[in-house]
Amino acid sequence: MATELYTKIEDYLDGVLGEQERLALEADARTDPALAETLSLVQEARQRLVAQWADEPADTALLETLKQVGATHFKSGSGSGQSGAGGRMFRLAPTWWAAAAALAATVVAAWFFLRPPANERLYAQYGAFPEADFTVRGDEAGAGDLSAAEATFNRKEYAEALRQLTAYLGNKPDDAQARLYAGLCHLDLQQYEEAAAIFQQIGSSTNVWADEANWFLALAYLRQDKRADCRRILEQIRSESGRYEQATALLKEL
Amino acid sequence: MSIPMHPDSRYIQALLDNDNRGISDIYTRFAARIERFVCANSGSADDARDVFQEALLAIAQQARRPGFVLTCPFEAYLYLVCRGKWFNEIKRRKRSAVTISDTERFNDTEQADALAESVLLDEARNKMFRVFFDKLSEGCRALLKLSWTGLSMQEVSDHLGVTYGYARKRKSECIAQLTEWIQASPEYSSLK
Repeated sequence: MATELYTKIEDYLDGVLGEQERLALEADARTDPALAETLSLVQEARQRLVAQWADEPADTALLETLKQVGATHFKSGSGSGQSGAGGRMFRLAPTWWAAAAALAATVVAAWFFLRPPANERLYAQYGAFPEADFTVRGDEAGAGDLSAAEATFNRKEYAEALRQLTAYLGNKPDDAQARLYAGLCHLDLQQYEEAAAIFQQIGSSTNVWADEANWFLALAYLRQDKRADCRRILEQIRSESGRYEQATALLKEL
Repeated sequence: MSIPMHPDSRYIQALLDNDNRGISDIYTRFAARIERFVCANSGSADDARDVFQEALLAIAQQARRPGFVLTCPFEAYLYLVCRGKWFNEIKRRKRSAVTISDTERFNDTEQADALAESVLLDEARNKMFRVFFDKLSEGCRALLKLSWTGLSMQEVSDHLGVTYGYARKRKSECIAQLTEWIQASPEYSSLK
């Protein structure tokens, strides 16, 4: 369906469609099942997603309580119920116990010394970059660089994406979204000072990208194992932010 | 005539209030039965804990909707939600037909069945919308969330630093993408 139709459906659902257009759309929906289905689907998407966003704080709090209470009421780690009662038991000779213990100790020691540092593991767990989706207007200076940077960034070619974003920002230094993504490129390239400077500047503004910048500032500190700084920034992430749940989870792990 | 509220509504209220004592009471009274059911159907105590937790969360989500009234015993309702969730889980794990053996019997489960079925369907449809919404680009997600949570399109465009016309066009493209994905998904037809 044409995007104009979705604009009309949105206006209809927002209650801002003119009387005649509203009546015409309703009449069309009565005779066109595909239109009626799309209208109903968009309406349901709005209702369900809005309700879910509104429920998020209550869900998070309830889940926390359920986890705490649940931990004391189930025999965790008991394995399958089917294998429990009828399962066979083996007795190991003492020499085998000693060999098994030595092997286990070796495995634990190898794991301990060879595993990546904790901050790197946490960074790998939490540090996924959002896909770039820039607002590109063809008539603007540097639009070609921004368009190219979007594709390059999404291919994870961060050095090249940074070059293209830097060229674009030469003409549009106030584009916060482009600066944020330049910061992400610096972060991936382990140029922490440059990344932090960008994230701090955006994060301390009232820009729509401020929460995102603070989240990645915290991750930049995490990657450098500056845990106190990381915690300090995570604690500043607002509960309305889309990163709040991740920030809370990371704080717990820290 | 309004539908009478069941005395077990106190359990629903405990979930809505995130009341630790009330929730502990739910676990004390019902967790063992759900563990017995899950373990009798190829699961473990850990599986039972997860199913129980997810079921309570889904029930709380449904209970927050306007007009929700518990009209049946909470235990039957909870058992049937857990049963449905565990059935879906073992079907997903085995990827083949499964049979369930019940460890509890309840009388007059018509209302509990209907409530449990509606909670499971509601949860599955919520998940479907959320999964496809999360597949949208960061820009689309930000735009739709701002717009659908009460900002006017002028405010949205100011917030995002784009023109009003661009924000409207982009929003339509994002919704078109979302609905296209959902309508093409197998879940869409199976969850009607």
